[in-house]
Amino acid sequence: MRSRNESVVQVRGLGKRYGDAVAVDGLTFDVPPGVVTAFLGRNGAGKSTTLRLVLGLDRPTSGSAHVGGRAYADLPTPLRTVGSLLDSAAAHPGRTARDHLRWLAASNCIPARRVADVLDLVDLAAVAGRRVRGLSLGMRQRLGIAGALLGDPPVLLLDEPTNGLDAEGIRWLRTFLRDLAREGRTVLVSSHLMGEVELTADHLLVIDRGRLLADTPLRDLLAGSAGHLLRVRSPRAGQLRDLLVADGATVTTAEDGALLVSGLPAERVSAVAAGSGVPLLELAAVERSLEDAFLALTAAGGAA
Amino acid sequence: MTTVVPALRAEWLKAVTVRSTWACLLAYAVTVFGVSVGAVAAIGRSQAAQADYDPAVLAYYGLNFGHVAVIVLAVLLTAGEYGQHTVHTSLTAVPRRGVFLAARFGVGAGLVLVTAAGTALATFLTTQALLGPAGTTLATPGSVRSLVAAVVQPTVLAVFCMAVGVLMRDQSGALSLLVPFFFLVSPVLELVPVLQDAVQFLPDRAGAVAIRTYGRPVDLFGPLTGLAICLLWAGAAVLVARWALQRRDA
Repeated sequence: MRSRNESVVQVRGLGKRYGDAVAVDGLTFDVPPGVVTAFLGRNGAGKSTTLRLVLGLDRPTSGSAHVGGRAYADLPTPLRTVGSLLDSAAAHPGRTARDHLRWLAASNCIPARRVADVLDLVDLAAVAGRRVRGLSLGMRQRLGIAGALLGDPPVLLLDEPTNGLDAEGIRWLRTFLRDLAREGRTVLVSSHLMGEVELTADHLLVIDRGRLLADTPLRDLLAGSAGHLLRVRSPRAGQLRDLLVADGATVTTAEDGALLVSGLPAERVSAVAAGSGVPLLELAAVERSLEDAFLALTAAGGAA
Repeated sequence: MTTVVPALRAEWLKAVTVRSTWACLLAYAVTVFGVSVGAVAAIGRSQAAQADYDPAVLAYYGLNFGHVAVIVLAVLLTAGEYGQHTVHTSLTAVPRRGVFLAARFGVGAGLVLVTAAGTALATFLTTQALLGPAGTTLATPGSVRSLVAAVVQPTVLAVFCMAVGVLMRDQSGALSLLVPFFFLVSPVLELVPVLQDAVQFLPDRAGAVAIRTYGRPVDLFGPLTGLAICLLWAGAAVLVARWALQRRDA
């Protein structure tokens, strides 16, 4: 439906310092269309700064960011190319929800009927005439999402979009973002919530202390990090442990007495146990969560 | 041009969809008209008999008081965005900072210009009618020029203050700079003999000269020059604001 190039976000050697503090340090990545990409990092890792740099709000100290081959400020009607939601970009408390969207629409020659459309879409039609100060946190967040969608943009850059949303809202947003990506849009969502990212994203950009630690499909990161850690229980754990170590495995003991084995595939562990007549009560690959993978990654990144 | 018109429409909608804009404009009109008419009603006839009587000075006596409303409006329209964290939204919608600034200042100046025009005309006609035979008309030489000055001067003041608002990025900071600047600095500096002449070039003093019907020999410059000095102040402030907005992080 859309040309691929129009909606690719390209970041090249992007850096930003505030005085002596390095907020973003030489980031290079592409955000492709068609998938939900999560920008994952702790608070203060540089996610919001990167988004502000892409949106031309802050000036990079080095490098560049382009959307569809152009700097954001050079887009003729930016809201029709990039929909964005920033923590720092609020609506005026004294203006009604509808008026907030009306001026946004006017600024980018977006037809006024889109205002009613997006209000319906985020389920705010009933409170459209209310001033922003009278809206709940979740409603304000949905108003921000409505603003991002106003120009029906091929690219969405959303900074912590689940902030303030209730469980129902979070589930709605998750489905909605996946649908938008399936339509061929570029969707970049920053988050520090591992569980949410695990459910929403296809692709991950992991950032820590301003540096990119991983640019990988979510599946690969989880599979890769699961490594070859096996959980093995046996009534003759001590004997099995010695046998496995002799076979080249690294073995530690879990709190419940189970053996945690790495360095050997499950087939080999099973064969070693069978060969010595050691019964096995459990032999399972340990699934590491995204959180584990993330912590391992940031720990390694911090040490480097 | 293609980006300026939508930006103007957006800024217009932003300005007119918050109550504070209307409150400030109404406060301006009521204050200028009320204070001027009150002053003329109280002391108009005795003043008109004085040798150095200038009808515009008394007729627009309320302008100075109305300036407070203009300063507040200008600061709310500009520095107010930083307090409410709406500036990022504004700049993602209109990322070209020069266009953004031009649209915002254009709308703010336009609102003040229209309000000031209606207020100045109503004030002039009402005060002169109150004075009866001592009143002047717009046919009197200098009256139209002083009427124009009474419209342009608050507009230029608004532009100057909007520029300061953009520079300060903080409502209370901008107000606590601007209000003393327009109401305290001149009277205080004037007490220093060597500064007396320089003070006349400050925007409030130059603006006061600008609205006079007649130039006075004691003034360093005439009404038109006074207006030009106000314009220079505003122009310089706009250039600095433009430069700062262009190079600063939002």
